[in-house]
Amino acid sequence: MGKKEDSDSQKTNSEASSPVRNSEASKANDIYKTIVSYEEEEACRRSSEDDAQLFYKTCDVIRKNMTEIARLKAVKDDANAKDQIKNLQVETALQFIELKKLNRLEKFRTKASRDQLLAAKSNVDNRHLQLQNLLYEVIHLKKDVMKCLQFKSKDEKIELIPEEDFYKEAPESITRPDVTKDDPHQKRLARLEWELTQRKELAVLCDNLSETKKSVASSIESKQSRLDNLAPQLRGILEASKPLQESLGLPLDKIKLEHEKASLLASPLYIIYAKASAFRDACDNTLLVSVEGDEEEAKRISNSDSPQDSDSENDDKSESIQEEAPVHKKRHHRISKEARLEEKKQRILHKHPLSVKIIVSFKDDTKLKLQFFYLTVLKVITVQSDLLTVNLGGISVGDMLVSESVLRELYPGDTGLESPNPANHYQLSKYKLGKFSAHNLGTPYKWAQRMAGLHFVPIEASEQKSVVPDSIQDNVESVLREIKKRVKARLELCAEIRELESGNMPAFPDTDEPIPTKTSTILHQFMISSWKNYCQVFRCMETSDQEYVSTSDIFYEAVLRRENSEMIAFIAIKPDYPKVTSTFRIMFSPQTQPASNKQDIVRDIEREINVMWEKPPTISAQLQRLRACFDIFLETEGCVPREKIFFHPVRGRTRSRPYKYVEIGGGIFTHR
Amino acid sequence: MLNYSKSMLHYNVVLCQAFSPDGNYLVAGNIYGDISVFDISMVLGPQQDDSNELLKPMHQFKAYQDQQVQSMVTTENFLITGTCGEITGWDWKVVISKSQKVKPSWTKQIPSKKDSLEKLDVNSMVYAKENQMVYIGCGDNKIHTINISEGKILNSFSGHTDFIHSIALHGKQLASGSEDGTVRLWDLRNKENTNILKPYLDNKVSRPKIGKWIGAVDFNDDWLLCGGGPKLSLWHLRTMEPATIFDLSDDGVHVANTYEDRVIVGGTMPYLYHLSYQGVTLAKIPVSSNTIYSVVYQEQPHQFLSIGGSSNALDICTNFNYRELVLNFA
Repeated sequence: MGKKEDSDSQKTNSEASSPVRNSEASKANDIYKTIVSYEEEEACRRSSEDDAQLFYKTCDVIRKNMTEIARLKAVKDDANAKDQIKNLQVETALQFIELKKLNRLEKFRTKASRDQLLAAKSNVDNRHLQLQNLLYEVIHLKKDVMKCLQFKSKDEKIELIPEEDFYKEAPESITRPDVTKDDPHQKRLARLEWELTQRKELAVLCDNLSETKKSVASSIESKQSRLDNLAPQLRGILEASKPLQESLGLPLDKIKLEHEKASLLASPLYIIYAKASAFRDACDNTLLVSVEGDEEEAKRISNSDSPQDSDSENDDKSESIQEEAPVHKKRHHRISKEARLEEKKQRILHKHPLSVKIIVSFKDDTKLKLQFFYLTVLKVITVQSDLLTVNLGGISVGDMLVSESVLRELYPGDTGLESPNPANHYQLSKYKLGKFSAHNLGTPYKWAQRMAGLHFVPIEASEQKSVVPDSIQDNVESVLREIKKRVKARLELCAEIRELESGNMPAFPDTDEPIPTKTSTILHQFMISSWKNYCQVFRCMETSDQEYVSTSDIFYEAVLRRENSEMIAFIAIKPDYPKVTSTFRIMFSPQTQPASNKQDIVRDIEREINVMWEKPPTISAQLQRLRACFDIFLETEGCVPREKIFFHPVRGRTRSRPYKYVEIGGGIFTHR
Repeated sequence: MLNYSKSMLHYNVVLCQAFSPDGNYLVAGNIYGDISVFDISMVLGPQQDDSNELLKPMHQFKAYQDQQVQSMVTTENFLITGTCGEITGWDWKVVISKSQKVKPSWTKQIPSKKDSLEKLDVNSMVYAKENQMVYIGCGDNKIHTINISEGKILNSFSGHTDFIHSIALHGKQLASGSEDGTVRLWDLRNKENTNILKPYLDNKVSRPKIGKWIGAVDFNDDWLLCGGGPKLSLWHLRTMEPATIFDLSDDGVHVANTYEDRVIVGGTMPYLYHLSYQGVTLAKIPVSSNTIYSVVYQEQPHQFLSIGGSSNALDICTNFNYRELVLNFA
């Protein structure tokens, strides 16, 4: 029932308010608006649950009323009932109004809550947006942090002086120990600052020094130019003084210069120079002795002389160490090693820049130039010689006058092919440099070593015994005399050969021994030959003769002819000719072969030509005797009519022939 | 030691050799007139370090200046050497004493024709022990006889028409081979020529290209061995017919000896042959010389055979069958 009342009151309220609305109807729909806002407020005030209860109650009332009405209608006749139905109908209509009101209220509430939801939703969206913005900001910041962390300062590479030194040396204003002791950053800054100041100072210093240097250089230059200007003047003075010196007979300058140069010579060369010039002054004015070569280089070497010796061993050591070095560097290594080896080789063969030159003069403008070099590492003297002759014009003089050949075996066995210093063999083989003679260093004659006061142990013991007493060969005089003798002998030999080549046999060969003059055999041909040729002819036949014929000999071939018979003589002239007998080897031409025992016949004739002399004979004498021997051979063999006087064609168990010539009567031939 | 140039040694020829009476030393003479003495026990002894030194002679001396040592023979006390026109006796004690100066004990001139300019060669000598006689085959075509104990030159055997190469003694008989191509047999008691053999007339033996000369001769009771220009041949003494003709590729025979039942022959050929009487080769020893001029051998105290010729080398055999070693004359 309360509901009813409620709805009554409401009805009253609404009825009450409607007059208000009506009263203000002039003002458009103000009342409507007011009612709407009022109802809105009401809807807010009332709880929806209560309204729901009210709704159910109202619905129940309606249902009950309906049911009552229905029952009353069934009765029908009762007037009372009609009233009752009328009341009930009113009541129910009121209930419907109530329902309507409730519905409106509900609608309002729904709208309100919807609005509320919308508001809440937009609020949530805003928050979400804000959150995302913040997150982005965080990431960005993190990145920045990372960048900052990774940042490397340039100053890290700068090498600073140690901290202790910094505190010790830098002024207080920079160190600021109170701040920097605790703050490493400040400390670092301070140290950098100190570094900067120091560097600035040094840069200034550097500038100053280079300034000074420039000024010194310019002063040096100016002084140099002054000295340069001085030189021509001095030269002029010297030039001017020369006539005076000459007129006074004082070759002071020259001697002084020579002596100055000589003082730079390596000591063995100096010995040669000193001895040779002494000999020149004392005995032989024609001798020219001089020092040649690059003086500056020599000065440099004499200054750096001492270390040069010592470093050879060090080099070896370092080399061996490097050889053990790891393999991965091998290629690079090898190149440098080869270069170094080449350099070493060069050094092994190094010549002293100065050399001594001796010129020996002979008659007929013939001059022998001897140049002595000193190999500083191999420690031997070498000689380069040059024989200047007037053109002699012989065809087959060959290398007889080539200087090397002239000096070959000046003393027995001194071929100069091998270094007399036994140590050289090892030095050369260590760097695989082969033979000494292969390097064109000049010839290391033993006499040259002796002249220079160098003594080596002879490689062969027998040589030790056979060497002529040293005191004699130390003497420059004896060597020079020997050289002179040799050159003279060579020139004579040349003349002799030239005669022979042109076919002229001297009628009376220069010898003390009787030589047959009348021979029927003629010298058909005389020509130069060679060692190679000689070997081809004889080596295959006999090898034993190598001992007394060697490559250093000079070879000739002579063809002897009598009528149809021919004989070829192979002549090996020793370097020491005419001190040593030349060796003849003979061969019969195929048409002239002896009937039997050819070898012994050849042997007998060769013995006669090569051995049977009191003194070493000349080639001409030997040839002349050979001609006679050939005559005798042919006559005893019965090939030609007998012309010579001899008693028996053969004699003795050897059935030898009368090759020996005796000057009895017209000259007879006897047996040995 | 004598001073030789290398070329002198190269052209050296050893002409003769002999053993000392006790057989301990070998001496050899060459064309330069020098004599080398070898100590056989040293030569055969254990090899020392420096073997070259060993192959040289123990001792050398110059026997003749400018003359050859053409032949030599040993007597009990002396070494007798022959050269142009004379023979020389050397006391063995001095020869083997190694002293620097070896002086001859005596010298004997061989008589020759006065008018001759040439002195005669002493090509071959033999010694007869029982009557101390030395028979000398000479360049004057004669065989001279000398009594050593008295030093007297006795009679001579003449008959050859050219110089004598070789003589041989057996019993009371002497055989000689000459440049004239004949072999003559002499009876020493009657001092007469008993037989003449001319091998160059025998077609099977002669070699006209080489010559008719007889370089070597030797004989025993039944057989006579000779060779030279003609081939080496063995002749029966009684019938004087060639029994064996030895076919060797030589250019002349200079040494031929009968030894026990074999023949030793050398000459201008590269081998020394040992042959049986029938001509079978028993040994063929290569030699250093082009021509062999001297072969000596002995059994006691060392079995030793030495070969000398146209070289500086002496080839030594100790068992006669192969070359044991080579000595150098100088």
